[in-house]
Amino acid sequence: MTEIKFVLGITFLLLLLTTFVIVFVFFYQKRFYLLKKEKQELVAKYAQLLLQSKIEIQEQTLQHVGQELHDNLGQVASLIKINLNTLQLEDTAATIEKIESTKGLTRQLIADIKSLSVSLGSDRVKQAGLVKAIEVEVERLNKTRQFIVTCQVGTAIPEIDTDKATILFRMAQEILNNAVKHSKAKHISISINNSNKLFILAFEDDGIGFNTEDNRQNAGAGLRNLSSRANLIEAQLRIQSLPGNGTRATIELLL
Amino acid sequence: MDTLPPLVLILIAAGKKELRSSLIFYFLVLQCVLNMYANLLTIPNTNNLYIYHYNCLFSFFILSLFYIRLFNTPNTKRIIFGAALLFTLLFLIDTIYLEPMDQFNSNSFCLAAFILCGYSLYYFMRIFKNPTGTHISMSRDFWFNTGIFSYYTINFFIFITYNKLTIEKSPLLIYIWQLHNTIFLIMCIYFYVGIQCKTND
Repeated sequence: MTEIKFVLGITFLLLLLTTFVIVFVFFYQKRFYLLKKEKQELVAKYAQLLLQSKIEIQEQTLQHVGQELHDNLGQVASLIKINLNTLQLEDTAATIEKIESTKGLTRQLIADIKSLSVSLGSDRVKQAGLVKAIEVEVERLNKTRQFIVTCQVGTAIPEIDTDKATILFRMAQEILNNAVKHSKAKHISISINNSNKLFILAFEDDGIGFNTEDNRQNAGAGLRNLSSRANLIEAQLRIQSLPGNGTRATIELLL
Repeated sequence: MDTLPPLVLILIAAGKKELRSSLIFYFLVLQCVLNMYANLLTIPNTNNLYIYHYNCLFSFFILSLFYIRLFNTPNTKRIIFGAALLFTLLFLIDTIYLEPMDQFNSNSFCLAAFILCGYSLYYFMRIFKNPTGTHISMSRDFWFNTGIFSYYTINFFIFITYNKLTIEKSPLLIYIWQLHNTIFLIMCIYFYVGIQCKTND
């Protein structure tokens, strides 16, 4: 009788033990599965954002190319055509002058086409690197003659992972676009620095500024995009601004 | 209680093409046939304990093959083959010298339970080390392994003492075997959940 009680007791204990093991394995694996799913979703989100950034960069480039073709290349080509149409062969001196001017215009046209073709590269951040891509963007903005944009690049800027660089470049474009569209700034300065493995990309303008608190509450799509992009590459985004005092945006990325 | 649940599972599994060739299906067929035969032998009050010798041996072989397929590595294959060989040897020694065919083979059952518990725990350990991408509740192998683990672990002490209790003709023996059958039913429930799953991993 005692023996049977002992067997029953031990069997019951084993039942509890096996139940514990099974439940433990089950919940451990379930937790792991959920974490893995979460990670997969994050990776998919990252890939989607990367793709979106690339598409937006391309859109921006095409817009820029269209504008360049219309405002610059088209104008220069028209000037060349006018020069050639108005050539007066009997007036040798004037003809020589016009031909020289046409030569100059053609050189300018070729140079502009070359610079445009550089910006048309399908993945210019990947090809030229983040710093160069930002410098091209600065050049483009300066060409509009509506702003004075300066770019100060610190020493020993390290290579940044291409995907992160693409997202950083898109963020830079977004910040510059916001400054161009809303800030009414005359001067925009950009600084690119590296300090203790911390990559710092800062933008400052002398525009009308805004109340960051109001803006945070009614954050527009642009600011939300900037924040989500910064989160995804684990960068810190800080926007400091006051009405009438310009805006300063800083992106810090730990390398 | 030890015939009907496997029979129901056999009927359910027979309707699923991928399960008809599964080793768990063969295990259930073996259990159903041998348990039914053992139960039939009790009606004219004939000793049916030799059936459990066959049950222990063949169940162990089928489940060893199940784990060979489950682990699917050359090392585990070698270990399981080695263990099966050793088990067969000890089973023969036990049957010839210690627990003849007319007695319950506690030693062999214990050894089988011990080895199979080891395999099932190793499976759980593998889940810890390399968790699968799919949700575990969708995994057929997980539920099959859980059934085997539960049955052989919980019954371990029943197996150890059953021969002694049968020799002593303990009046509560029938309750012990009923408890064994309840645990067998729990294993069948886990198998049922596994049969309903769509994936193996």
